[in-house]
Amino acid sequence: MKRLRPCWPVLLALYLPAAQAQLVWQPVPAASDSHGGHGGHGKRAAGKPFELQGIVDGQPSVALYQPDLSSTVLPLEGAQVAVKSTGVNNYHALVARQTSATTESVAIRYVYLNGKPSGHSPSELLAEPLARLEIVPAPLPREHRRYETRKPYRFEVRFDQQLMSQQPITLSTQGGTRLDLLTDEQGVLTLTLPEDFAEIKPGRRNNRPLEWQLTTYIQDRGVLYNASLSAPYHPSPANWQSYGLGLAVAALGFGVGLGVNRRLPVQSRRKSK
Amino acid sequence: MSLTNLTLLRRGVQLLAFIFLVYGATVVGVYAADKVSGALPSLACAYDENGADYCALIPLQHQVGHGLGRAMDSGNWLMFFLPVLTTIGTFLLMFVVLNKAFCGWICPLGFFQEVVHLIGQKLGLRKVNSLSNGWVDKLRPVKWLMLGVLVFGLPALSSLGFVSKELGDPFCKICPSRIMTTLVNGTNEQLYVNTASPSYMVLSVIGDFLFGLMVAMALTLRQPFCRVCPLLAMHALFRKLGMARLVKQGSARCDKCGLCAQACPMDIRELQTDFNDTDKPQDITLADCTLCGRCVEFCPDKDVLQIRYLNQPLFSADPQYFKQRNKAQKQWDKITITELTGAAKTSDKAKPEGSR
Repeated sequence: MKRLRPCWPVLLALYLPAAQAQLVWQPVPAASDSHGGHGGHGKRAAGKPFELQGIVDGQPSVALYQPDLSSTVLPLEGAQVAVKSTGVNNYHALVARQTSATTESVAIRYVYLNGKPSGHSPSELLAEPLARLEIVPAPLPREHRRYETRKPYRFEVRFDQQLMSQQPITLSTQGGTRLDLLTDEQGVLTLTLPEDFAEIKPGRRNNRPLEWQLTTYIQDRGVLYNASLSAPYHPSPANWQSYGLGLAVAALGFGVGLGVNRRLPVQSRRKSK
Repeated sequence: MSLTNLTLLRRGVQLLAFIFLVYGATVVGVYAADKVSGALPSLACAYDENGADYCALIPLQHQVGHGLGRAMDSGNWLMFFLPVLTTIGTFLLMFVVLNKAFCGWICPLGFFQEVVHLIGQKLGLRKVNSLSNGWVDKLRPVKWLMLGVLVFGLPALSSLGFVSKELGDPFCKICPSRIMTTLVNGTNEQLYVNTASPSYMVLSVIGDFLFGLMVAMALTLRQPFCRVCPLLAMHALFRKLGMARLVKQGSARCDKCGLCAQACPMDIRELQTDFNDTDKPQDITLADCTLCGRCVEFCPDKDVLQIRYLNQPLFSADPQYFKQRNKAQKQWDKITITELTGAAKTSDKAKPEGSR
């Protein structure tokens, strides 16, 4: 497996599948990027910038969907869009769509925007068909969780809301991994993100997240449907958390507890007659 | 042995609450928006991805840890108080319904400790019914320290920049419920030593050690962690608002009896000593009470102790009930694994050679 040094603009261009004109969302790294700290508090006013890569001709349409399924059209400036907090709900779907007579290309990215709860679940957003062909996380990492290496995640491939079994999917990561995968008989892809960070420092906040993307395509009645899903991923905490030591310390606590139990001073609450 | 008593009813409720709170994401959904409240007055842990609700302490720590400094910088105190008051308000909406029964009837960690204690006793390990008054008095302030320092103090100092951001949610980092709820979900991802920084390492070591200590002590002592739980302290702050209460109208006999205090898993000796010879029932839902009702079960005098809801008696002390309950408890206490295996060996030996 080839590993590349994470150098954003060059690298993003390198690992994009060149064969297909596939739209993909990528983050625009800020100069003072907090390495994906705590969900982007304090960045609400400026918005999160994303770049749409793979635009061939014309201008794709871009919309931001909320969990209540309302949507807002966002203007593309060049190939970039700034996604500002809507004030409600956390997960939103950023959807870019470009169609021609022979192709329909869709890029989806689920963006975490730290909004107030509205009573609508992200599962409503995931159930909503956003395109004819789409790759859907099943489920998204829960709030305060994130995609990490070494952990399995599930994705569904849906075409016209039907799960697609044995559907080819390509995983490309900024760490340099490229894998050709297939969905299972139920149309589900179970994927463990590879540990392909060039350097891992202890602590999540000390590691800038890399990007992964899943892409797939289907030919139907002369039209080529492309879909991409992209998201950041972090190195597994297992790199700086020792589970063996954790068990040993708990065992030590257990042993001390057994010792304390033998010396616990007992008192009868009943007065002797 | 009677199969109808308050403790058995409570165990059933605890078991259902445990299943729902620890595995209930399959019912309610995985996301925060799907959870019952996000401010439960019990230690249902947010680190458990399969849980149905979150304990109130995690949003409080985060809201103080993130919001206080920002509010002070901007002068916009609404952005600090609004989320904190929303969490406390949500907590209170539930809390007034059950009061401290969230500890004795709902809390997954409370139930876990009761199960561990049951296992310890059935294994024939030492049983400490009541800690000495000195130990009880030393332990009682710890819950307030946990609430003040770990839930509010350190997150506030972290938010103001006096201590590291790593101390933004210190109680969760040492809470045994985080480890227990994830372990019972089949993952050891929360039982770790974090080597990322000295403060993370210290917190994770304390958390692991505390978990092991709690499990071992629960084998012998009833509810060891409950005695120092910050949620018990938070309950104590608001206990006068709850609809469920423990009330007592004692008599001179109470001073000599002491069965209620002996039955109490939290060693509340005031159950015996306070409110004797009063004219009318007095609220004795004390700071450490979990409204488990054992004191009422084991009170032999009619209506001396009662659990009341909106001042209506729900469950009252009764001599007849006491007799049955006491008998059932004695029979239950006799059943241990060593007794059972000993009996099996004896009967095995008693059989003639040819019948084996």
